Amino acid sequence: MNGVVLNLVRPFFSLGRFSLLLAKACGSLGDIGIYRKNMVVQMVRIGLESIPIVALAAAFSGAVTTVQTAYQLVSPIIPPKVIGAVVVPSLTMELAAVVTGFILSGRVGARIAAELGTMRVTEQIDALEAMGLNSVGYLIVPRVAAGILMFPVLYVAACLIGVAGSLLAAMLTGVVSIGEFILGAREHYDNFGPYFGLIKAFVFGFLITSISCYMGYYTEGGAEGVGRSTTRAAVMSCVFILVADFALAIVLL
Amino acid sequence: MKIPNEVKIGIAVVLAGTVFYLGTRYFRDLPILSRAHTYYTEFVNANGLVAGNVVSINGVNVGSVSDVQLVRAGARVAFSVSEDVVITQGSTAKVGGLSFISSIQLDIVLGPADAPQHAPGDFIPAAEQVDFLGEIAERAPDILSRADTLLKNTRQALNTAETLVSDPTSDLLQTMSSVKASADALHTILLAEQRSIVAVLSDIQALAGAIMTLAQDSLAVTVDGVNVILERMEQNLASLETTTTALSDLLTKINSGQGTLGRLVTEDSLYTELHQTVSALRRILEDFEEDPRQYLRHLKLVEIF
Repeated sequence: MNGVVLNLVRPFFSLGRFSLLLAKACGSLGDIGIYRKNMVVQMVRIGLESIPIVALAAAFSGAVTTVQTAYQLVSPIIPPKVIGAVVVPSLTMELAAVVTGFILSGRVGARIAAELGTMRVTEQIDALEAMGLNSVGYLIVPRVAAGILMFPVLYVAACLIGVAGSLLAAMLTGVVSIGEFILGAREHYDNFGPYFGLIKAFVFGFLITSISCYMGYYTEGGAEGVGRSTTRAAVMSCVFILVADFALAIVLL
Repeated sequence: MKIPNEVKIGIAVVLAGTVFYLGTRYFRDLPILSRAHTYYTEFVNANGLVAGNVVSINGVNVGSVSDVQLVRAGARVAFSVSEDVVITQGSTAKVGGLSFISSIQLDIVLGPADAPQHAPGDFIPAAEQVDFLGEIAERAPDILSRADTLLKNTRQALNTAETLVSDPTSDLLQTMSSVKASADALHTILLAEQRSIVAVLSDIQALAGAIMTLAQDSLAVTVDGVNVILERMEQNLASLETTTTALSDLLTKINSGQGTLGRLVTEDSLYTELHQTVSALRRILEDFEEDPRQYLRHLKLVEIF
């Protein structure tokens, strides 16, 4: 009976502890001297070093979307330009942000959780606290801030490379000419689409880094706990990306 | 040289911002570097127009719809066009395209070319809207009624045809039976006379070949004869041309008074003298007829002896 109650209460416990951690992080925002240098390092690791894998995923997403749209939609009564009208909004509003989010959940989220988890189980975080250093301000704030700031940059890169991949696929397969692709994209272009994707990028960047920091910061159980936290960070980041994606679509569209 | 992390991040952020700005302008069909002017219009019914739809003048994309807002009178639309596009006063705006066939777009119908230019931010009045789908919906009952009548008539015709085909005493069935019997009889005759027909066809083919050969030979002879005649005609025509030329020269000389005949034609005095000579000769002849001895006497006395 106690186990059932504990399982029911655990989500609320986790949410409460997560909220308190964020509140403490927000309280540390003013101490910029503590985390400025670390934030720059994290921005390079989270942002710039992720560009190659994000570009690869975005290029293939765009190319596959182009070919599949041609396969599914184009017929004698549907003009080929509809491919551009489908692919570009799909990339800007959904794929560029979500695919980038999934990739960073594995690459960035797992690394953050592993770093912080190792520091926790080796009592490095306790040592920081014992020296009177604000561990949340020093470890969590720079990572979350770096994620929020750099994720939109990765989103823009993903959009650019995704559209380039689409055009390349269209050119190589001959399903649609470049001119018709651009014409369709322009005719059905929605001004809000890129801004919607940008908002998603901010939200996903925050979710991935904050959830991973939370998982790593509260790691328990030695090396095995670090592995568990790493896995849970990646999985929970993906789950919350999907939930946030749906919620943002409901609220903003 | 090692590039500081701050510089790398700064470059990445600036590049991302630039790509985002230029990309959105590119897909909005706005000039990438030059500015765009914003104008406004209002429709009673926006027909599904949304921000991002194309703005077109004479079928050329010149910008995009920036915003569509619900207002009391209908929908207020803001749209941007390139600054080098001139929208003259008297221009009107209308919603074009059918949403289920192609994208909706905002069409600008330009006013007179010599009219003053609209300033940025001006209001462009909407043209009178034609609700194409509404018109179809309005006429739908009439169309359906006609279609229903057509279907009834078709059904009646099909029933009549079915009766004609199924009734063994019907004229159509009897006619078809007769046609079938005739076709069978013809088939039998063809089978029986197949060899004779083949022989007749062979004879006809041979006859046709002979006629063709004959026609070709006779034709060749006739053509040769015609060629000879044409050559002679050509020679005669050349001779006639030479004669005509000589006659023309002669007439020219006569007209210009050259030669005896020419002088006679052109000089009156010669004519007068000749006339007088002829008159005198006539008188002499008249005298000679009346009294020939008068002249013979002189001849005899003086000349012969």
